[in-house]
Amino acid sequence: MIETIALSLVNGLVWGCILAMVSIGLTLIYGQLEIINIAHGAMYAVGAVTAFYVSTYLGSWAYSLIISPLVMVVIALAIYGSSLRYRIVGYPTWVTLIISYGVMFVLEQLTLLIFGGAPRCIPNPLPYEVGFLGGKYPLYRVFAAVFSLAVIGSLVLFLKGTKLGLWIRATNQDHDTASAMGVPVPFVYMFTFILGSMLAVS
Amino acid sequence: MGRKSLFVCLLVAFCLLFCLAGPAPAGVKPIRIGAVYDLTGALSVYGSGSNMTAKAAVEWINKRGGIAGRPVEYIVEDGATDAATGIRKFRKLVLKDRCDFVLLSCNSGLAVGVIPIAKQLNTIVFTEGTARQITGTKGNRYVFRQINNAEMAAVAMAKFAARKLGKYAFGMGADYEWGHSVVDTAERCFAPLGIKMLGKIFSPIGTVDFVPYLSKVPKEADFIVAGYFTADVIKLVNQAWELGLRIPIFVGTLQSIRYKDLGPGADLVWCGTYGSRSLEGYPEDVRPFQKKYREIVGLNDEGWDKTGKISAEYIWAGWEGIFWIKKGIEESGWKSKKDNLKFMQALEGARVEASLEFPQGPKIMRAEDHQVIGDTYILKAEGGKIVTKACIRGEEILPFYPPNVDYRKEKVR
Repeated sequence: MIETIALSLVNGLVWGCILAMVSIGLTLIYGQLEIINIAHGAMYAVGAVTAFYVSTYLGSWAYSLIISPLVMVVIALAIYGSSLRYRIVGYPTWVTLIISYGVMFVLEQLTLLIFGGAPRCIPNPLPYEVGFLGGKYPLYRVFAAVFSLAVIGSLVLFLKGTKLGLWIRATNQDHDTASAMGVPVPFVYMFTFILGSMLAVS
Repeated sequence: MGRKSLFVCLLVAFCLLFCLAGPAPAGVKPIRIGAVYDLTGALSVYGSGSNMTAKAAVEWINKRGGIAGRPVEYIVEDGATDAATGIRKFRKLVLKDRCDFVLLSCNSGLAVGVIPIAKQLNTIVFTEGTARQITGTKGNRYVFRQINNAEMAAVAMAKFAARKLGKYAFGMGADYEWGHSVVDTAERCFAPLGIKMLGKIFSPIGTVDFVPYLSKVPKEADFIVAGYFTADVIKLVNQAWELGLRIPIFVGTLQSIRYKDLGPGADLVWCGTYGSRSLEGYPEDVRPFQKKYREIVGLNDEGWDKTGKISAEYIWAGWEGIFWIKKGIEESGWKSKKDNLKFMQALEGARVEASLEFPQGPKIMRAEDHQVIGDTYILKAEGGKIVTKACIRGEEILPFYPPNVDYRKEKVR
């Protein structure tokens, strides 16, 4: 009984870390740009599909850690450049909500068209277990949790300790004043959207 | 020509045109068959496959003169793996497209929702949903099921497990009609065979993390019976291995799942399902028809379609659904929905042999509950592919699965 409770607690914490990493991108985009990015889940799926193809054709899962976020940079740029950039300042939140809703459908259907509906699996890159209260726990989940914490920590450091981070925070507080102070507000918006999208596929 | 003459000429021309282009002779009015298949969502590997085979069957029939001299029109709608959407599409097919018969996907929730409406709209449906109650207490005379159901697969599974897998089982399943059907029936069948179900647990469809559920599997369990489909099977099997569980897992379907997606624990996976993936897994009396059918619909001998994404074991139901309709129309002399009762009576108790029309094997459409009794297949992941270990013939299952309703007592409009 104690083992089951302890396992559930540890597992909950691990999943919490993983979900936090996926959702922090959503939070960043909403917090800074006030865009409710309904397409965030679809972006996550695109990242997973990219990772599947990369690991299948290049033979190693490690490549997808680099290639999937890069693919997402291209997609995020296309989404931002084609629609969102014109509808952030001075428009109600529901306008970008509808745009991202449309983007979600496009991404979902494209994924279905290219990948199909059949479920596929990326082989476990760390197929080992760690001992846990007489039982076993998958090592890659521990890795994923640690990686998530590292990404979240890096993001906090980036926002607090770099010039670009300062620009993002300043733009969020008052974009007019930030612009008057020389902050390139349109660039900051674009960068924030791309960063948030990349976090969905990390 | 004066205006008056021109008007008269036009009037005569219009009348002539109207007479010539009048209603087509009754014999050439097409028979409209609709289908609600899940072309998107979690069940799309079933829906897309069944759509592919149903469409191929209609083309094959039309090239040979149609059904009873009438061409067949096939209209498919996407059920999107959502019962509410599917029900809406069913209504559209019947009320707007005027379909005479409708094929339903393997989504049991859709079938359960559609059954009373089908009766209301006087439309006969053929379903691939395998939850037990569809041809039980939730069914009616308007529904036929052209595929064995989950209970029958579980009976076959239990018989096989008793011989091969051990004495103690643990049940896991998706928390909906079909998942419960698989696990509960297995439990019921295990008792007389000397297998004890140590417990059972159900998780929502699409569960991402099976660890909390797998941690409940007792150490004494010799094997797991799992009522899951598609991605859930992959997650369950991989996560069981990651947790160090090294016992066989008997699942209800492996449709479109590749060996390598099952991960390092693949060889522990068994499956009780409705067809063989490979051609060679079919009995000799069925294989020639199965081969021809695969050539027509575009499946290879290993059981994959041209895209390599859809496998063969379940999707023959689309093909056979069309041929059940053909058989019913031809044997009853059905002309329109007014003849639905004759159609039902023609199929109630109908027996078919293995043939190109019925390439999955011989079967009976049981008169009482409109449930097909056909062969069930035991598959196993082994040596890099999914192989067929046994074919449990319909007549072996029949004594274990008596009907619990008799629709023939129902009145039909």
